[in-house]
Amino acid sequence: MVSGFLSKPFRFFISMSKEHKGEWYIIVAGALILFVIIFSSVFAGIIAPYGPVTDVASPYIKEHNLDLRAATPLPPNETFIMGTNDLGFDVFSRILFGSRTVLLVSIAASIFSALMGIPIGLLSGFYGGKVDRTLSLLMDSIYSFPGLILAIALAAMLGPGVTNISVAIAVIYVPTYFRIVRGQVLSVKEELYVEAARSIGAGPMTIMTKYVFPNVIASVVVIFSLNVADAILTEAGLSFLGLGLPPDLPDWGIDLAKGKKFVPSGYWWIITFPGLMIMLVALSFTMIGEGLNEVLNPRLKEK
Amino acid sequence: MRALLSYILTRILLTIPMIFILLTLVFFIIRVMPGDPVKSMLGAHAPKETMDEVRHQLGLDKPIIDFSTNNQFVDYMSAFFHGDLGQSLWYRVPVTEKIAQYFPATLELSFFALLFAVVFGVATGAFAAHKRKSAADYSIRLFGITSYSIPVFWLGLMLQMIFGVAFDWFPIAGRIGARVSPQVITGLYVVDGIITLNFEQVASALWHLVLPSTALGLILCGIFIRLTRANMLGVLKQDYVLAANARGIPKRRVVYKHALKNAFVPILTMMGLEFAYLMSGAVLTETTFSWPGMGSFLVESVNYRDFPALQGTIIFIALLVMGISLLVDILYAIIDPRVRY
Amino acid sequence: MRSKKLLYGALILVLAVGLVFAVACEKKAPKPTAGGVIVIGTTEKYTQLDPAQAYDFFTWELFQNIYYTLLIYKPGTTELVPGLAAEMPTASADNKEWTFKLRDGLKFSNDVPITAETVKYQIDRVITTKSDPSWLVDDFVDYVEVVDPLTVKFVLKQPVAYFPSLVATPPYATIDPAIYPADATISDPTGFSCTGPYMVEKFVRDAEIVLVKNPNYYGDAALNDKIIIKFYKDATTLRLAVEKGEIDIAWKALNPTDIKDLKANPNLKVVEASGAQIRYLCFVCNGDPFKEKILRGAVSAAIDRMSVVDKVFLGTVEPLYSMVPIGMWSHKDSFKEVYGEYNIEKTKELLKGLGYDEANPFAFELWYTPTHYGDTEADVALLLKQGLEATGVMKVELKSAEWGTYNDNFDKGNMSAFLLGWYPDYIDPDDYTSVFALSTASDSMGIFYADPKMDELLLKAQVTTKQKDREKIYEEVQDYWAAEVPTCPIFQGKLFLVTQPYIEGIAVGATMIFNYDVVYRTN
Repeated sequence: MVSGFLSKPFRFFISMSKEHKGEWYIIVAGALILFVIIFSSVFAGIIAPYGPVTDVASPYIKEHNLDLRAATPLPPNETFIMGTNDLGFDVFSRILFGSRTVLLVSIAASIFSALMGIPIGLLSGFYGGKVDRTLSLLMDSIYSFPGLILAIALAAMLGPGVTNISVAIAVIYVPTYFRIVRGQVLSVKEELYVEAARSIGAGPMTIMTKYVFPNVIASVVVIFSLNVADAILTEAGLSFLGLGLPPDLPDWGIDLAKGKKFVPSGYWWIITFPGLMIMLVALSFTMIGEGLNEVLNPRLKEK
Repeated sequence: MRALLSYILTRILLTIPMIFILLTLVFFIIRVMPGDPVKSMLGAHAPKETMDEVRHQLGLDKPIIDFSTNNQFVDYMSAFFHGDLGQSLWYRVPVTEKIAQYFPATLELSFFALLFAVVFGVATGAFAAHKRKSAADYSIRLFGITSYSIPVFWLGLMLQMIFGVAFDWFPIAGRIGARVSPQVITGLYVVDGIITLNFEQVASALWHLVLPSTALGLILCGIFIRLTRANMLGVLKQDYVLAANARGIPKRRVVYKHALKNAFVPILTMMGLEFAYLMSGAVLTETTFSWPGMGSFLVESVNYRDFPALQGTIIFIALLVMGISLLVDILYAIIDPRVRY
Repeated sequence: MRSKKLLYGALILVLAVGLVFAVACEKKAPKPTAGGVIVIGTTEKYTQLDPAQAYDFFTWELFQNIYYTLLIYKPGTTELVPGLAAEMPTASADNKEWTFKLRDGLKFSNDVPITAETVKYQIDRVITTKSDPSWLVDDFVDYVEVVDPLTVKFVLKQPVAYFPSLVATPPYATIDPAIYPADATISDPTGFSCTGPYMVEKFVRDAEIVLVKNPNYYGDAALNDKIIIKFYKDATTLRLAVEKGEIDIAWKALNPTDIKDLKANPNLKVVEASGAQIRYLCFVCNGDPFKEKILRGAVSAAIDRMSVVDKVFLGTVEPLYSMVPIGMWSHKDSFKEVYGEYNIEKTKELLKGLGYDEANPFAFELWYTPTHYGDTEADVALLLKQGLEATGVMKVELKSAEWGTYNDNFDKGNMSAFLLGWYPDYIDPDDYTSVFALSTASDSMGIFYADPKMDELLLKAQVTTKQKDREKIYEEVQDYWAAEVPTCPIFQGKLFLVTQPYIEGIAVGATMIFNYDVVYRTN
């Protein structure tokens, strides 16, 4: 890992607009998409025309004298802009409410990973020796696992539920934080001003919180947003495989899993929109993360 | 040479404790899973004596772990070192046998997906580098970033809907047509078809591979686009390329002949690093396309709570990923002597 | 300019590859099958290929085509006819001893002769190996006696009026002792010595099984030369296979949407048969809160069956108001008589008596298992919950567990109300009633129900011999069931076979047995 360039944390916030115009656009675009999605998720109760598990198609079908079995699911029309699903639920409303689930799980999982990974990484890097070797080995083992497969095993073990699924996802990202933080600590530790602080008698706790931690925070921000993006895809993947959440909770992954069987029938609206949303949310976090990363990491800077 | 050998040796030695940790981890995750495997295996109505007997046969009446040598953990470890991954509760055959049955399907899919990703990724990446700062470059780069964020199963469903259902060009499920009775030697239908000169089988297998490997390949190709582009831009700035340019050698030749060759090593490495990601993607792709591979088997094992099968599959995939990364590291060390850890 | 050329080059390449593929595809277009081969596609799987061990419908279906029992069902009916037996059995006056005469000169497909000893061998085996379906023999048969080489006598533990329908179940099938050991069951036998119209030519697990005519079959030869069963991973794949003409018959199980679409397809035939599998809601009858009978009734009145039938299954199932399925003798819509179709007022009234109202709703957990009954199960649970909550006086929390855990939970009585399904073992109302509600059986069904009157009725029905009398008792049982509600019936499955237009002769009746030998093609 390239390091040491972070000795003046947050410097990039000032220089960003001047030096990294392209990246700046990417970050802002990502943040804008994200803002819209978070806004609509928070105010889903107000924006959404219907409840996420309310059969709104049946009354509509009755009113228009259609045959219930033949007309279900309703394709997009002026009443239901994204159509309804097989149970008569409004797809658009489910999309809005579903964003809550996906954001909740992925952000909770990432926070949990960070809370686990950062302290362990700090400790490991700072103290070195046997502790470091053992922890590194353990983390490398988890890291070498294909993430989704580990999450599947954990989710199967923990059973369905929002908390359980968040924990299952969190575990697979702990090593990411650990590695990055540990690497940073190792290099910062050797910096002159840290040496100096140590020589004037600063305790390990002081050094860690005052000198080391501020230095890793910037890369943690990058990792965090990339991590959320990945967690979103993992959450959707787990739900798609049917390992995740209860059915009365609106969730994009579950809607896709249920929509799979409608492919030959051509009910495109049930499948297209939830997937598009997963992509958009993941993309917004990726854009923020990638943008920040390019600002922070001169190696990848555009030539 | 000595340094290289000792690096390889260290790298291999480091893998051993990792395998041990991995085995332990998988064991405990699976053992604390709720649900009675014997009951789900025999059904709720089996007599209690039968259940107890099966439980005894499978060694499930022993403690999970204790200080003696007669517990499930010791059984599990010693079985593993004898190459035994246990007996599937659902199918009642050795898990290794099921893996042998399903793995070729995954390998075939992964191979074609990776092939697609590399060919497509390198081609577009090189093109983007060649046409730097053009509209094409920006679109390709945007696609590169976006591809990370596309859920592979959704992309699969979209491809099915468009090319499978609306246009009806490609099959959207399975490995081979029902009228083709595949001859199985390696389990790779394309290879088997070529060996046995059964071209109907080759055609049908390739035909079925188109959509799933495109879906998985498109997800994977982002990294190859970026890598190729960045590397080629780097190489294009180097002296000899500039010199070649100055001598009037056409830019296209410079780009595609010299620069691309130099970008090869990092691409090879990336193929190794991407393997874990490829496996995760394969699980979802297989579910989407009803592809009878390891991913489908894994999901099925979860649903049946067939924990020896689940355990065996996870261990197999993890070992595979470790093996590949070991191999790539060693290859890389041999190809590029500058790299030492 | 050059880049444009490159682009065109790439485009041409892509088109060329596409063309090659297209040509390849053209080649694999279905050609008409010569002779009498019928390809059946299914999403089901075989479990253990041993009649002493397998306990699932699809494996039983194979046995019902290759391993015959003494008595079999006439295809498409519930009428029992002699199979390996030469005639219908004779029972002693008390229905405790049943004597069967074997057909003369019977041989397995490998020419090994079949005698009374062979018949006895399997019965002893089932009792010894104590596997999942063993109870079908063990609970009833005390011992089997070989009277002479062509005569066997079953001596029962107690009189059983419906013993012939038990004898028609696969555990009673006659198998070759050289293949199946006397004291153990085996999942994958080394071969198949068959007694039915077919024998196995080739079997690749999870891929295909090929059945050909059994030359030693005693009866009329099958109307087709060969049956190939192809195993598909999921309903979608199966649907596409029948749509594209890759298979002749799609059987078990298509999604409701697929059936709806295929019915609209003029190039295919959809054969519909009433199924005997039922779905119902169970209550833990000895625990809180459902030991209170009125609560069970209140829930039953607010089961919105039509919502499930219409929305989740698009009419591919039927609403069910009795545990005895529609189409079986003695069936009676008792629940409809007592509670109506979906009666919110009744629920309110019943709950009011117990002090529940809108302000203080009755809250309980409703359990389901998400994969065992197919991916529609979560929707079923969700709609039931919505129906129950629409009364305003109930609050339902949905809970789910995978099948293994679910089994464990219901054994321990951990789930106060849960959804379950039932496939019949033998075709008799007894198999839909006493297996649940007899106080000796109800614990293993997870409902922990015990009632002396119910026991008395059910036991009386078991030993009564006159059909008319049995019918009366079962009608009484069903009425009493609706009053007692040990379980609440919800819906009954229908069976759908989607076939190519040239397939004829399919006869699947209430037994749900699919006899392949009577199916034929008209081209």
